[in-house]
Amino acid sequence: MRGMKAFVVKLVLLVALAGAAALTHGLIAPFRLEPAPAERTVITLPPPPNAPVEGSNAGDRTDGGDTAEAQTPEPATPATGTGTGTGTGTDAAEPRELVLDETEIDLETARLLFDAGAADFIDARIAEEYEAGHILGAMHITPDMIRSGVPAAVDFLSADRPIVVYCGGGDCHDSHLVAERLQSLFGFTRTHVFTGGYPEWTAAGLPVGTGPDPIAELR
Amino acid sequence: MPTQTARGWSAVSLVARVLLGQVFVLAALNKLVDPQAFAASIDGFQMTGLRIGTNDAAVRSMALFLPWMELIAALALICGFWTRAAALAIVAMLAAFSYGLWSAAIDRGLALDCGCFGDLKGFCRGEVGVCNLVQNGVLAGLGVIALVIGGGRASADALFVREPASDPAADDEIDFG
Repeated sequence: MRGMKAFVVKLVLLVALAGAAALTHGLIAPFRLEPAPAERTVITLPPPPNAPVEGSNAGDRTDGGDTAEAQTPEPATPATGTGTGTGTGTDAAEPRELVLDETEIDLETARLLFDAGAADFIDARIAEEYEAGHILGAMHITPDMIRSGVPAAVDFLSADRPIVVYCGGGDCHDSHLVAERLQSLFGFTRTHVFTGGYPEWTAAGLPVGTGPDPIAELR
Repeated sequence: MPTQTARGWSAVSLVARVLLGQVFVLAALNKLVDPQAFAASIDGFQMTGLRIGTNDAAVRSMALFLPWMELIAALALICGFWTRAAALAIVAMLAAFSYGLWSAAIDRGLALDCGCFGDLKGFCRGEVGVCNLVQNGVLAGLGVIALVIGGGRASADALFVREPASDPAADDEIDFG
């Protein structure tokens, strides 16, 4: 009985020691699970096309609602979603400005960046999901890939250009983790997270690609 | 004089302790150098109460506590210090990890990264599956050996045990903690 009591005490002490070490570790070297606030970026968007949106270069979009609204040449309101500041410009024919001042962006902002070719898109989902379908032109970087080394796609990113990371939307958190890693490990301070992710993108009928990422196979 | 049997069991314990301990030291250090990555692995298991975004504090705590528990228990096991308590801690962790693996990868069919050894893949490559469960089973077997035999003679525990010189048979019965 006394032996059992001593055994339990030893076990509790081991656990307590681990707890104390973890607590100390957390206090000395806290780590982030979320990306830091992204660096503010102002992007000049090309003037919206004069032609109605149905004839735009939006690829195989199937849902006209969201797209049509976004493409309509309304002055001064290029986007209204999270992460987007206000657009400037008084005429439909004038270039507009898109201000990225929040880390998380919504579909509208992601679409504007995509249409303007003003950002690099990163898909943070697993390879099978990426190959089945991804935002057209998106590169593939998962948390696991970063854990295993420097993903080849990192060489194709620029610190001066916004990066939009997305995953499966909903409670998927890999986009936040990849964004944090791109910021902290590689210094890409203009990294944003498209919270709606791939489901929202496809639901809006926006352009997608399929197959493996050729860049990911370089390394 | 220790009997042949006692020496044999001590050797078995030593091999089991060192094998299991070094695996866990390696696993723990790989997680401790990048706790954020381990937090991501924990999140990948999609367990209630351990999701980034909703239970950040719990995920952070686990991402630090588990590797430290692994490291401390593994070092104790290698040294043969509080051998049985350390072995039980490791076997309990392996049981918990195995349940998590089974629940996430096999029961719920999630495609996930194990994170068992940080960025090292251990003996199993690719996504989590039966291989990881077998791997954990083998490691738990080593833990059970250490748990049953104790530290044996080549252990720190043995230093704190006074052997009864008058009873040679006691060599086989000594509790090394």
